[in-house]
Amino acid sequence: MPTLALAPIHNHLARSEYVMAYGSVGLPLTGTTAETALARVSLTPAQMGPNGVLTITAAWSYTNNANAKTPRVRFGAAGITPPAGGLITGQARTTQLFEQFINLIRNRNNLAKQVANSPTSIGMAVGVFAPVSLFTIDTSAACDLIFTGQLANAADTITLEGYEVELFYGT
Amino acid sequence: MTTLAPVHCKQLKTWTMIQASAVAVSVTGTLVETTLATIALPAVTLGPNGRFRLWHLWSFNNNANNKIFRVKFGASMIYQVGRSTQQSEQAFTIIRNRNNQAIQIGPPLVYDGIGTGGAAAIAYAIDTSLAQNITLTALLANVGDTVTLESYSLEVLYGA
Repeated sequence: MPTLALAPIHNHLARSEYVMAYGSVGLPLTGTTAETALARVSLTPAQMGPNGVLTITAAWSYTNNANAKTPRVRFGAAGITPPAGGLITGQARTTQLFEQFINLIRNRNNLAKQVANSPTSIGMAVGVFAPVSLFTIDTSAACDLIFTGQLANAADTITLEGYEVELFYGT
Repeated sequence: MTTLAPVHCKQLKTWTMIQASAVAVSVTGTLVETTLATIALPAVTLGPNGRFRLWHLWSFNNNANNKIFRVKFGASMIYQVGRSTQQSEQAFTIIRNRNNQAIQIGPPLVYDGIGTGGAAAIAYAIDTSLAQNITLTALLANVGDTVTLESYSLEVLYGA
């Protein structure tokens, strides 16, 4: 779609959220116990604005057994590799088969200050026994959001089934 | 919604609202599965990597009888729960095309959109290069009960 390059400008004017990245081909991880990036979404400098918001939806599948399988979302400087980057969400799963979560990262009237849900939450919950997360990631520079998987047993599999990353530019 | 909206949303990379309603529609007095809403998804609305997100809000009377509500995409079930002593439920269901207009991945049937699911993701083979319907239905075990579809909205993201 050749018009996509103009999308952010139009969305600024329309004050609408736009889907800056998505995927659903199914990205599996197996054979390693190292935390491994499965998908990367890059933001250009100042793309969020001082009050911008990123909304991240992700669906995961897991091998169902007693071993830990951990899906994570991290946000940090361009080119980050795990375990670098602020941890937006990341809870180990064992006997679950499927999971979907939505997380929001909000710039706090400053390109280099963010607030987000606790990484122990899936983004929405009645009560979470942990504080919110505060970050100082400089979004005036290029940044990356990465989806990672990690296995406690290399024979297991964790799969990023699909994701959407939506951006609202906030002045 | 003008007929141009999907085109603009495709260019803007935004979700397009295909159809929404908050007019309550109920079923009672029958044990036959009853369609409470039908949403027409035009051919090629999703694209090979597109997805739709259906929000649906239900209410029902609180007793020991089972009340089943379902969402179907084409001929395939994509959501189904049976409730008894609860009174309402809201869910969202995302179906994602998998780099092919006729291959999808979706959540387990009994899944409200957030959190862990007790079953595996489900693969579908629904040809979205053709027009398809999304239907929301309810099925009672006792004709004295009522299930109401309180509201729904279908959003689509085109994925090239």
